[in-house]
Amino acid sequence: MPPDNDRDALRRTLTKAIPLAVTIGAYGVIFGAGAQEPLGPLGTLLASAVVFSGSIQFALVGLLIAGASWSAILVTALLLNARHVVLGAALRPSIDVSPMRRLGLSWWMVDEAAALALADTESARSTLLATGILFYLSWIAGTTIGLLIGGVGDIASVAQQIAPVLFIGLTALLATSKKTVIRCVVTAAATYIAALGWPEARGALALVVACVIAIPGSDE
Amino acid sequence: MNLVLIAILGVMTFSSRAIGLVLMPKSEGRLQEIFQRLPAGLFAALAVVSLLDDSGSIQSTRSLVAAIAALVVSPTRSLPLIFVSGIAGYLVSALVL
Repeated sequence: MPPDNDRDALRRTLTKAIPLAVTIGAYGVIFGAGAQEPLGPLGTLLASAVVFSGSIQFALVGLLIAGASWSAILVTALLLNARHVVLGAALRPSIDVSPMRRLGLSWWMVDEAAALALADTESARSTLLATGILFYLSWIAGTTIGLLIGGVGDIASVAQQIAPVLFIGLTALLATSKKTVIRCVVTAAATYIAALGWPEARGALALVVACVIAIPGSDE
Repeated sequence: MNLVLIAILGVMTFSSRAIGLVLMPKSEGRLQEIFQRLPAGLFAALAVVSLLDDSGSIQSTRSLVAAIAALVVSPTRSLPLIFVSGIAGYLVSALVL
């Protein structure tokens, strides 16, 4: 049996993670229903099982339907995946275990699990593991349900329209000081301006702008 | 054919996660400070990106209202409250607009 403190910490973590797990499950349903046409049932389930990334998987489906080439899909995936390097580097100081264990943990490092682990500096490793497993199960369960029920009509459009709410939640979780909030507002504004100039590259621009604005000054 | 593509994407995604967490050295000092404050800004930037369509315009008024409703309660830092407020904002705008 884990000590009471560990159980309390796990309970607190899961309380924060459940709304995210429900959201991830809902997006999984949409993916499962929408990906059947270009990927087939096996491909749809395999994508959720081995890619485990909503942004990459939805981009894959969209690009396949649009008739994009493999190279276009792989370049898109490369750009979307670049943020994982940053999230991993931010988590690295809080996760002081062997490289093999970190390799295992990196499987679970979706945006939502990384945000929760970064917000929990006391037990980032167990938070990443517990929430990563929970989110993976939600994603697979959602995908399976989506495969079974088929077309979800306007739900996909609704999900796309409320996506900003998810990222606002993750931002709020990590914006613990006034300086961080100001930096987030400046980053958001700069990203918007940059995206107006180059909308096709807005995903990559988000990472570039966030990196540039994180560099100057000090939070001390 | 698509199964091979999916497998490649799986390897790419896992590798990108492993690079930061496994291969990058443990940052210290100024570099650590920068990495620590990057994720919040990154998620804020992704919130903006997800609000826009392929032409760079706000994708819909409903989406904007949902985001504003989520932002209003974001100082609470409560994920359930932010989600409920955002979805409520979306539903109200869908009914009214």
